[in-house]
Formats: sequence, C-alpha cells, structure tokens
Amino acid sequence: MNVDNLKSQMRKGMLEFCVLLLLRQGDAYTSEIIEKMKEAHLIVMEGTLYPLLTRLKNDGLLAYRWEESPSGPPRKYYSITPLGEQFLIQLQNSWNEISHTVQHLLKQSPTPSNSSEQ
Amino acid sequence: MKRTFTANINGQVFNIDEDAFNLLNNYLDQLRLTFTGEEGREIVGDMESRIRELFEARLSQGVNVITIADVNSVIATMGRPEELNPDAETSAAAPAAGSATAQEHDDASEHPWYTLRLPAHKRLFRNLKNKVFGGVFGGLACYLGWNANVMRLLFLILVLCTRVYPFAIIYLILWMIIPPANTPRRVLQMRGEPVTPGTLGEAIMESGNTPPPLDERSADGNFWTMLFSFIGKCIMLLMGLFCGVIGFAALVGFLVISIGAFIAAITSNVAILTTFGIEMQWLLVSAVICGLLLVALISFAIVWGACSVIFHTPGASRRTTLFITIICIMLLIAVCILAPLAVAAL
Repeated sequence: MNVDNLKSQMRKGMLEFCVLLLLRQGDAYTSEIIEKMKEAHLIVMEGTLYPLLTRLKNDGLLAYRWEESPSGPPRKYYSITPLGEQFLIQLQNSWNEISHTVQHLLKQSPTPSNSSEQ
Repeated sequence: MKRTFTANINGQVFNIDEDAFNLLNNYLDQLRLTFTGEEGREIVGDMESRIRELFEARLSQGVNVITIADVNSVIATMGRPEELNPDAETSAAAPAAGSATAQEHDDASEHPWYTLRLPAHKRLFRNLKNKVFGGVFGGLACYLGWNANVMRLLFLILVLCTRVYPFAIIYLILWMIIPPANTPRRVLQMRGEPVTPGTLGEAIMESGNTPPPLDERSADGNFWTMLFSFIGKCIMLLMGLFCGVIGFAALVGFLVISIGAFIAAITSNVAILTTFGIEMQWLLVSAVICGLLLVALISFAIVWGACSVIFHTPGASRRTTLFITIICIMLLIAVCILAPLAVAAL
C-alpha cells in the first residue's frame, strides 16, 4: 500500500468539489483557480485542471465568458451555474457525512499511539 | 551558438531555441494525442495559453530566448501527457508495473548476440554513434538487437570469400538507402524508445554533448570496435585515393567522348571522332556503360522504394528523386546518341 498514491487519490476525489466551492465565492479565471488550488496543495500538475474544468463546463456545472485583461490576451472567466449550485449542495451533504464519520473515528482512536506506531 | 525560431504561442511571438522548439512542438503534439475531439482541442488550447503566460513570466525576468530548460520546467509544471491522461489515471500503477517486467523481458531476450524477431516499434537508421563506415551495421544491430561486431566480422568474411565486389556494393547501397539517425527523434525511433517530450528532452541533451565517434555503451568489447574502426579507416583512405584517380580519369574520358559524340551527331559524320583520337569501339563501350548505369540506377531506385516500405525508412526526398530522374534522362539521351553512332561505325 503506497501512502503517496493514497494521498493523491484522496486529493483527486476532492478536486471537483473544491473547484466548485472556490467558484461559489466568485468568478475566477483559469490561472487564478490554478494558483488557489496549488496553494492548497490540491494539485501538483497544472495540466490536470484543464480537462477537469472543460468536463465540468461541458456537463453544465460551470460556464465561462471571455474578458479583456489589462495585459495579455483575453482571459477565460469561469462561473458556477444554477445546476452547479445544486450539484455542490449534494456534494456538500456527502462531504459532511464523510467528514462527520472521519472526525468521529479520529476522536475514538487515540492519536498518540497511532503516531508512535509509525 | 544555437539557431532560434520565432514561435507564435496563442498570439504572442516568442524567440525560442531550435531544440526547445522541437521539444515544445512534440509536447503539444502529445497533448493533442492525449486529449482528442472537440473537448480535447479546447483543453489543449487552454494549456497553450497557460504556456504563454508561463513564458511571459520568464521573459519578464529579463530573458530574451526560451531555452530547453524553460520548456522542461513548463512541462514539469503542466505535467507530462501520460500523467494527465484522464482514462489512465486510475490504473496508472498497474501498467507501470507491467511495463517494467516487459522491459526486463526485453533486455533478457536481447542478451544473446542474435534474436529472430523484427521489432515493429523500431525503425532502421544508420547508427552514427556506433559506426565504422556509415553506421549500417550499428543501425542494423540496434534494429535487430544483434551484436554489431559479430555482424561486421561475418560480413567481412562474406566480402573476402566473394572476392569483395558484390557485398561491398551491397554495403554501399545500404549506406545510401538507409537514412542516418541524425536527429534526436530518429535516435529514439532507432532504439525503439517511445518519442515523448521526456525522452526527447533527454535525447536532445545527450546529442548536445558532442558524442564520441564510437558508442562506449555498446555492449561488445572495445578492442573489437577499435579494430574494426581502424580497418574501416584504412579502407576508407585506400578507397578515397583509388576513387579519386579513377574518377578523374573517367571524367576526362567522359568529356572527350561526349563532346566528340555530340559533334558527330550534329554533323552526322562519324569519322570526325577519329580526329579526337577516339577509337570506334569506345563508342560501343560508352553506350554499354551508359545503358548499364541506367539499368543500375533504375533498379537502385526500385530497391530503395521497396526498403522504405519494408523497413519503415523514409523514402527519397523530392530533391533526390529529381536528381535521380535527371541523371536517368541524361543517361537515356547518351544511350540514344551513342548507340546508333556505334552501330553505324562498326
């Protein structure tokens, strides 16, 4: 069992959820989204985000518009659609459940013994 | 010193090194293969505009030319195509393990000096890093997975047993037909390694350091390689002298005969040739030589075409085709002039 592999699997499962959460705060262009996701260590390679954004857009959860930028080419601004909002609520419920269970388990199992085992 | 290109990336012009340009071009090609269809085009377009941003950030640091290091860092930031493939990501661990064992198996089967399989993933090129004359056997060794020096030794025996000419000519023809592995992409194809931005980058780096004339990593003993290299150089020197003398004599003879034949054809007076000191039988000899050359050239072209189909080597370039065609036409004209004259004279 590879720890790094598992960690990256966990992050991958969170990606769509996090992108939708991020865009609910306000519209953002691609590079902004990338920066935020990188800050949160959610993605390592930028390339993984482009297929994801395109898929979310094609599924109608996101929409984008072109906006002029003060420097350089026009930017692609992504925003969340009503369908995306609904989707996000479902994801949030699911996350709350998982989070609740994990927190519960973490409280039950004494952490010091966990760390000493390793 | 390096050549630079200007590349238009998403509407912005960049100065970019030749090798960096090749690597980036290859990277984008690979991305297009990974992300297909309408959706894929959009994804690659977005990634291209991101690459532009990354390069612009680099230029704002006072850099004028995008180098291969910049492209490599961009690829590291964006991720290699095989890492980004959405279908492969869940099963990424399994094929990696599988390919590792396949690689081992491959190495094991290449251990003896011969194997009897034609690798479909390799292409036949002349190996410029493991060569005596033109790298024909270095390339064949790479292609077939055989030992180059054993092949050279066998070939040398064959050449000596058959009184040199037939197999020496076969070697020369192979030398001309098989293209050299003179680009990083060709080197990778010759070795049968996948052409990805990663491997291409490595190959470009490798070719940047001037390669030693003989491949030190060739598994065979260095003594044999050096021996063949020495024999090769001696033969080359002798051949050079020989061909130089013969070539010069032939050129003079050809000029005299062709001028004489031309005048004789215009004035339809065969006797004028004797004033040039040309014996009549030489006309016939020249006509026969031209005819033989014509036949040889045409069959050579056919063999070349067949080889390019069988061994996946690139065929003749447009310029070479034109050149061969012109020579053929000239020989045909020569035969048409000389043959009637010779017949008339005899």
